[in-house]
Parts: sequence; structure tokens; C-alpha cells
Amino acid sequence: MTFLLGLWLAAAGMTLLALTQPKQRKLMLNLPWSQGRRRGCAVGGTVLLLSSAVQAVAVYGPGVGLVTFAAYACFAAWLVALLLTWRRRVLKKPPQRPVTR
Amino acid sequence: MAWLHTWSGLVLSLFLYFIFITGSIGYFNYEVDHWMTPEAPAHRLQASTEAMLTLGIDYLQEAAPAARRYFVSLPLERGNPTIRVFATLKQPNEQGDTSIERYLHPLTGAPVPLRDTGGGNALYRMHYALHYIPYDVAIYIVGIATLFMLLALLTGIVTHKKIFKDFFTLRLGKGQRSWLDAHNISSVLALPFLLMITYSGLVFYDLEYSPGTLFLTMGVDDAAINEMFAHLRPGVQRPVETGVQVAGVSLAEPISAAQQRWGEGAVRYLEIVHPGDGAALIRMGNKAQGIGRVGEVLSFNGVSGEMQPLAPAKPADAVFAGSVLALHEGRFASYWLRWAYFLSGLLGAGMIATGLLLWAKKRRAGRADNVPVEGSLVFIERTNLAIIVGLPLGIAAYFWANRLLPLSMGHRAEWELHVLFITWALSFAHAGARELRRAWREQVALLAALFLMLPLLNAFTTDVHLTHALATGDWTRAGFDITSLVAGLLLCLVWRVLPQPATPPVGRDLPDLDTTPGAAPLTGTKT
Repeated sequence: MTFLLGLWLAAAGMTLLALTQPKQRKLMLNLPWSQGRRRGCAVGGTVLLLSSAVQAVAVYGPGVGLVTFAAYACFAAWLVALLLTWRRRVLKKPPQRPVTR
Repeated sequence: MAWLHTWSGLVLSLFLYFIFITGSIGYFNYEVDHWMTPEAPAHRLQASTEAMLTLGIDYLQEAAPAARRYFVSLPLERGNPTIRVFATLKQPNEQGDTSIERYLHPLTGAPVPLRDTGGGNALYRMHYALHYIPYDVAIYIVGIATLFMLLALLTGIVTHKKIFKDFFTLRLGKGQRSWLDAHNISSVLALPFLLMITYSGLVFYDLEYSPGTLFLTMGVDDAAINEMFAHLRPGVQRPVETGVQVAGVSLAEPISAAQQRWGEGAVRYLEIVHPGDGAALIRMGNKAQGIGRVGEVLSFNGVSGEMQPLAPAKPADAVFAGSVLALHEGRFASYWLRWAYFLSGLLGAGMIATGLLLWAKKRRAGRADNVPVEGSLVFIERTNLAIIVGLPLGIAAYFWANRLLPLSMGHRAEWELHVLFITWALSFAHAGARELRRAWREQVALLAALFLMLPLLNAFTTDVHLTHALATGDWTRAGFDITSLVAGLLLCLVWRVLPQPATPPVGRDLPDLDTTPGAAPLTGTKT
């Protein structure tokens, strides 16, 4: 379970980092975006990623912990990429025409 | 730089794909071993370390009284819960063997008659030693392929223009663009793993790959090589046999001393060098801590039982090399991390596969579907199919062979591997003989069926089927069956998105079409 906790911390961090990129942000939340919010996401994402690294090192020790963090980061990025791919497919689908009788 | 990336990745891609697939499975070699030996007990049984080591040594003393070395390995946390015993004989026995290896029941010490199988270790071994090729040649082929891989990775980083901008980008259904995205994302997101695994793969055979380093720094004679090994492994004793027979010391004291130092149940193996001789030496080892390949080793005099001085700390270069190799093997990994290793390895294989498909797709670009293309491209497209789907087909057939080949068959383990390679060869023949879109669909369908039906085959041929494994808590065997089912279901999804085969016009051969998975489906040619 400690592994999953670290993975979710990293996934949350990666999601915030993805929001700092205009292309990904438009896919996830099509909202107006200020420079302050972008910076907030960058800082929040970095902090969450670092906390997942700290969690891994605290639980598994410095050597195995860093390897574990690399695994967290890799698979967290994959989760975000798959989420974005799914969003792209959802947004691409043409709206259903209401059935009128 | 782009051409260097393309060609360094393409030239030995067959070997690289083979290395990545078999190496990834190698991360679960003990689990695969356990599934492939259904005769082994389901669980680790509660026996004391001392009792199991004594059972092992007692068996060896009876089965191989004249031996140079005894080795008893205790059941691991993963895989086969039997005691593995091994002896190197002084003289070949009646069967002409120079060594014996048995698996013993941990409670009774009776040999467990396991089927003759290559298991997961045969797949693991193939990722660096290949098969049907002499070992000394194979490691050089693998080394050259690994060097090409490292070059392809480094040039790929340079040529990838939008490494951060496209970090999370995977656009599906956009033809060539999608293949490039898939290639990029599988390589960029697994880049730390890919760089580590490639570099550390080269470190395994550093002396073989760059012998000049050794010769130039240490010299070329045996003394120089011995000096180097003494430097890398300080304090390792190599006793010389005296020929004087003496009664061996009781193992109780050395085992007790080791358990006092490491804790109950921490001993992994016991080795006796020159058992029954005046120079006998007992060694015991524990599991490596952190990222290391070898744990601590305690040595005892085999006659007096006196503990030998501990080996001095290894030099920094040996520690570094050991850590790099341990990172490659991932022996320290928990199950979660092991899955991460496995999936990262598959991502590496995916990167190679998407690279192959992308290369063919680029050469197809801008051509109408019904325009014939040059023979070399057709050959490559068909080879791509046989590489990408054919190898997993061979591996699935290997698992089937484990359950279907007669147990009394001679060289049974070798025949399991023959089945793998025969199936792979048939995949090449099938890809060459059939219309390519049809061939893709047929091979993927067959692969899905083989994986989906593997648990069923297991249920028909053994009594350790999925429901039994789940009921008894044998998670290793249950995990194998469930993974096989999941792989089969995922392959069904892949099969669904593969383009439909084209219907050839009556009286005409079908031109070579764009058969890359994901290509726009063809609705048929008008006649």
C-alpha cells in the first residue's frame, strides 16, 4: 500500500505539471488560465513529486527508494498520458443528436 | 543525427526485441518456474533453517559422498518452495554427469520429482545468451545490439525536438503521427529505465567487451587476472584440497552463529567446499541489503567449526559495479517494483516495435493503398509482424508445451524451447504466405486465444488450476493464470482495432497494402 501512496502522490504531481502546458490544459480543463495559476500548478506539481520521492526514500531507504521513485514518476506520467488520451477521445466524439419523435 | 537514430535502432532490432521480451519475463523467472513445475508444493512450509540445511547436506552426503562442493539453497520468498541441493562430483557418476541437482521437500527431505522444464530461467538466460548460438558468440551479439540500443537512445534524445512539450502526448487514430507519439511516449517515459538497463547490460560483460582495458592496466598473464579478482573480491578463500579425510564438523554451531548475526531465517544458502577433507570450508550467505548483488558471507573452518575473519570491505569500484548490476537484475525489488521493472521492459519492447512499424509507415506515406510497393518494403512489413507478434506466440507455445509434452520425453526441457522457436519460424512463414492485414489479425487472434486458454489447459492437465490456486492461496500460480487471462483480453482489444483485411478483386492478386496496425480500414476494391 505504501507503494500505491507514493504512486498517487507522483500522479497528482504529474497532473499538475501537465496543467502547466497549454495543450494539455486545454484538454483537461478548458478554462481561462492566468500566469499565477500556471505557476501554482508548477510549484504544486514539483512539491508533490518531491514528496513522493521523500516518501519512497523514507520507506525503502536511499538506494531502493530512488529506484522506486523513478518507477513512480514513470508510471504516474503514463497514467496522465492515458488520461489525456481518453479525454482527447471523449472531446473528439461528435455530440449525440437528440432523438425527436 | 536522425539517420543515426533510425539505423542504430533498426539494424539489430530483432535481437533487441528478443532481449527485451525475454528479459522482461526474466523479472518473474522464479514465478514462471513455479507455474511450470506443478509438482512442487504450493507454499513455503514452516521448517527451521537448521532443519532444512541439515536435510540438504544429509541428502548430498548420501547421494554424492565424493564431491568437491556441496551447495544447499533454501526456499525463496518467491517461486519454488523446495530446497535446492547441488553437488560438484570428483568423478563423473554412472550416468556420466559431473554434478547432481535435486529439489527436496522442505519437511521430509525427500526428492520432489519435478518435470524436466526450462522454466522461467530458460527465458531469462536467453536474454543474454540467446539460443542455438555458442555462449561466447551470443554475448558479443547481445553486446553489439546493446551498444546500438544505447546509441539509438542517446541520438533519440537529441533528435526528439519537443521532449517536454509532447511529454504526455499520445494521439490515437492519426496514422503515422500516432505511431510517432507511441514511439516517443514509450521511450521518453521509460527513459531512466531504458538508459539504466542498457548501460548496466554492457557492464555485465565489461571485460569481454573491452579486454584491452584489463590487458593494458594489469597485464595478460594469469597472475594479473588473479590479482584483479582478489582486488574486486577481497578475502574470498579458495582452499586447496589436502587429500586427508577427516570427519566433518557439526553444522549446528556455524548455523547458530550465522543466525545470531543475521537473525532467524536470514540464511539463504550453505556451501561446503571440499567436504570431508582436511581443508574443508563452510560458507553461508544472506540476502543482499539495499541495492547489492551479494549479501554478507560468513566462512567457517570445516574441521574445527571456527569462524574465519570477515572479508574486508569491497573497494569502491567493485561496490559501484555490483550496484549497477543489481539495478539491472532488480533482485532487491518488492513485488510492486518488480511489476514496474517488468512493465518498463515491455515499454522498451514497445518502443522497438513502434519504431519498426513507424519506419515502414514512413516509407508507405503518400502512396495509394492499391499501388504496389518495392519488395524490400513488403519483406520488412512481413518481418515486422513475425518479430512483433511471432515471438510472443513462440513464448505462449513454450508454456503450452510445458503442459502438453509427455513427462517421460527425453530432453523435454530442450523440446520446450524447440517448440518456441518452431512456432516463431512458423509465424515468419505465415506472415510471408498470407495477405498481410489478414496475417496480422490471424496471428494476434491466435496469440489472444493461446493466452486466454492457458488457464484452461492448466486446469485440464494439472491439479493446481486457477480455482485451486486461489482457494489454497497459491498466489504465484494464480497470478500467472490471471496475468495470462489479462494478456489474452488485452490482445482481444488489439485484435478489434486491427484493420480489416481487404477483399481482392476477382481474378486479381491483392497489391501490397498498408498493413500497419491502425491503418485506415479498407472497405474493399471495386471491380
